[in-house]
Amino acid sequence: MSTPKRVGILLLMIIGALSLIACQSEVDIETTPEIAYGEVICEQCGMIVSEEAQAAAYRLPDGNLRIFDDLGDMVLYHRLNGEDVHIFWVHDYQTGEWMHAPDAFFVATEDLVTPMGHGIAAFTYEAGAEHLANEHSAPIYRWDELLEAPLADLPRHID
Amino acid sequence: MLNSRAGKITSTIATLIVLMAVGSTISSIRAQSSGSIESDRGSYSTFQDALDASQDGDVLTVTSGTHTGNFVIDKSVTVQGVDWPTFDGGGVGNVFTIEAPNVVITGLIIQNSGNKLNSEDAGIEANAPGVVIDGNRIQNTLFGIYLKQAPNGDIRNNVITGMDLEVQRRGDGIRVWYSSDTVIENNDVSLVRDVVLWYSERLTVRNNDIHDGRYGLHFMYDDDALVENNRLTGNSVGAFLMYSRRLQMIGNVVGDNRGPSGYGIGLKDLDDAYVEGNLFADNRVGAYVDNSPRERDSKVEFIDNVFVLNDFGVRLMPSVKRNQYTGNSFVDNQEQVQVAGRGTIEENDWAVDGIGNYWSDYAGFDADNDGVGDVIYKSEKLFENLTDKHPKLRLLTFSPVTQAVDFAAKSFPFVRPEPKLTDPSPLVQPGTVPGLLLDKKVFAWKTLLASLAFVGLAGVVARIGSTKGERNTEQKEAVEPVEPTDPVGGNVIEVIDLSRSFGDVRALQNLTFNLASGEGLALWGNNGAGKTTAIRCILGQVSYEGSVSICGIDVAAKGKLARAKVGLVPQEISFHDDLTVLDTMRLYTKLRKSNHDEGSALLERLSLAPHLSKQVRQLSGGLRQRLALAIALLGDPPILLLDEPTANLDAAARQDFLALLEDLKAEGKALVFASHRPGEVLRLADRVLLLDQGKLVAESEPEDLMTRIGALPKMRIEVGLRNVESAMTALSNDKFETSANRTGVYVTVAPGEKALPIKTLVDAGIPVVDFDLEGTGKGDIDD
Repeated sequence: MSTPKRVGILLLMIIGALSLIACQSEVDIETTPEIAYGEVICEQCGMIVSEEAQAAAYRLPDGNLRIFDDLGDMVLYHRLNGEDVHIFWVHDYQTGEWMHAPDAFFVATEDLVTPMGHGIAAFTYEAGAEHLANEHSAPIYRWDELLEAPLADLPRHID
Repeated sequence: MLNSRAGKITSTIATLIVLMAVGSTISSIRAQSSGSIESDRGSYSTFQDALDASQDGDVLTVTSGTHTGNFVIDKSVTVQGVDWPTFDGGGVGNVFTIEAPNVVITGLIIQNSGNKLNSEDAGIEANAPGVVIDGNRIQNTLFGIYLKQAPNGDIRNNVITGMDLEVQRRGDGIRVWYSSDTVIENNDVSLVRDVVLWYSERLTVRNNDIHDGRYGLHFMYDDDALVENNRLTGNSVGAFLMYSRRLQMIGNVVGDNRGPSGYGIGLKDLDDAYVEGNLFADNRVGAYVDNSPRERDSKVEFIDNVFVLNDFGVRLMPSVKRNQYTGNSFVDNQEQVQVAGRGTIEENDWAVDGIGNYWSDYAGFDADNDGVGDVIYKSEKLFENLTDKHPKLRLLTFSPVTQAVDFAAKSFPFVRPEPKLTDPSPLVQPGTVPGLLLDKKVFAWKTLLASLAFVGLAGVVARIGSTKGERNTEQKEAVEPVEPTDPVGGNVIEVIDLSRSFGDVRALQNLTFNLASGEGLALWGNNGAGKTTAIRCILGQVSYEGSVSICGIDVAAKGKLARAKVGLVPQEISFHDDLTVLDTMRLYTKLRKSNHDEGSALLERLSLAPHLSKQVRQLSGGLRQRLALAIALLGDPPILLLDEPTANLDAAARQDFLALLEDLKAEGKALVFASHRPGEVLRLADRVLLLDQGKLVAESEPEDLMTRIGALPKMRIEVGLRNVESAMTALSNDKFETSANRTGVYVTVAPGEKALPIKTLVDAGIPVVDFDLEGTGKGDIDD
């Protein structure tokens, strides 16, 4: 094979390799997150996302999804990175269903064991949150309050 | 209608009877307690009665039998089992709940807790300090042992097997929660989710075997922990260590952890972590480091670890700073160090006090033979650089694109990436680091030495200096493989004018010899004679003058190819003692790029099959040597190189091992071996090279040499005064070397031939009254 031909093939291969970088599949940014439990890694802590009830996620305007093994890790990651987020998703503590985080009521208590120890549970209904909160003498937060709550007030925080 | 109603009534009654029967059965199961219970208060027929009657300090001895129920121990008692009594939770709640301090539980089978994650059902849940849980079998429980605010506990010698559930539905084999100063040692934990150790300080985790779970260890908020000599294998992640200070991780085997992240260890938000002498083998990522250290005045140290055959040796998040790496060995990882994402890792040290790390892809040289490469090691592969930033490109790993991209970077410097890391003092071979591990944790470097010796990686480093520039680089060899040629003139080894110097000292001078298939060649001489140096030259592990070819392949030019023809059995086998025989063979099978079937067949052939699950530390010297031989035979090399192969074996093991080598020789293997043992030489060698101070003093047949040095034993045969002369004549006629001794004769005999002079005399009609062997002072003949 002649040298120019070889160089040509080589360049084509490099271009082909580099073009893979640009490949992105189209996603519907409104759909609920699909998580392969036991197979994906938490964006914040690097651990395996195994427990569906505790998993959380947010989607960026470009469709990219950030997945977390613990709702608290999502809060922490967002605080640390400050990304522009299209939708935050959390699981209802009682039913396990996905819901928009701004619609949820949150209880934070040390007594609740979650994968990364943040101890935060999300509820669709305020009554559910009140029940757990009363049981553990814990406060109830709305999403905006949780995002801005002083770290020292949460069960687990980065010291 | 009536019939129908009667039928319904009958059916209802039948149902009630069945339900009552079931209820009665359940009730009777729960009340069931067999075996005997003796305590300081007397004898009891049920464990609950004994417990109820007990007082602090009592010892309850439970002999065999099964005890079903959920037992709450609220007094400081010792429960000790004899003949493995079983405590069965009946599938509900905890089997034992400990509410009193200093309770001891030992010698029990504890099984069938509930399976509810919400209630965290456990085999043993302790809520009090100072508990000792020692030597129990805990099986089919959701959580095995759960210490909740139970400091100063001691969990040791237990076998914990979880429930056969999907991993996320399992509980933790051991969970330690707000329980500082706990010791966890010598436990075998499997089929569980994790071993979770949270919010507890000064933990000791030692000598545990944790396998086939999700997280071998999961630490959070555990300052001052010591994790030592554990085996963390076959989990999704070996150990994930987070949010803690002053963790020491020393001497652990972390292997085959290949879950979604597949970290051998993950360090996140750790300060002043100290990671020393661990073996990280065959994980996706040997060590993952994220935001560690956190604090400005702290660091993370990796010292004398071995990273081998991982997809990524170390993965660093771009934010990582103040990591120090010294004395580590990065051997044949697909990517030695990865930066996960954009950014650099330049604020980390890859050498400390002039000691860098060993890199199997280092292509520098060590002209002054100080053990440190004269050219810095740079990791600057363009393809790696691209895949670090764009993981999707990893799909192309091993494709021609990889080579094309890296070739482009070499050809066009303007696309060459900034080095990912530079090691200013790369080690060119193991053993040049301080003796830190050799004093404290011998295994790591020894394992590496053995690994490198077996795979011949130490010779990968191309050297110049005293070698006359004839060496090509191994890199070129890798790109343009050359098929081995047939041995010239039937010789598998040809050595011509081989010399090796250390400064002014001539370790080897103008050694010339050759060797054919099926031949045995012994290198004989005192310590310092040059035997081991000759072997290292033949392996291409050191630079030399002269010529060495193996199966027609020039060792200097194509060392890797030549070494593939040689199986090495070092004098002292330095395996990782914690690995099992099977795991050891798997490791070397991968290192030598052989296949599992061949490894299994060799273990079978060398009678190691019954020992597969034993740790190497449990093997006798003879079995260790067999294992070394099995590994040396991977790839069916035509040549075996052995350095004092039976030096550390007892007489019986020596005979077994020599018999094996004789068989291999008979099958056509060429043997080259250094030896001090006349018996070994006489059995295996066709020729002996006598070396002295690096020079070849003589080449002869074994018997000649043994005779020359007085190493052959003499046999004194008593024949009576009047038969001495005729005996001398008969023996001389049969070529025996003889001398007279009043009423008998002395005959020099080779091992295995002691019957021959007797036969000669009997055939000549000379009566043999008695005979005896006399020692030689030159080492045992060991026949």
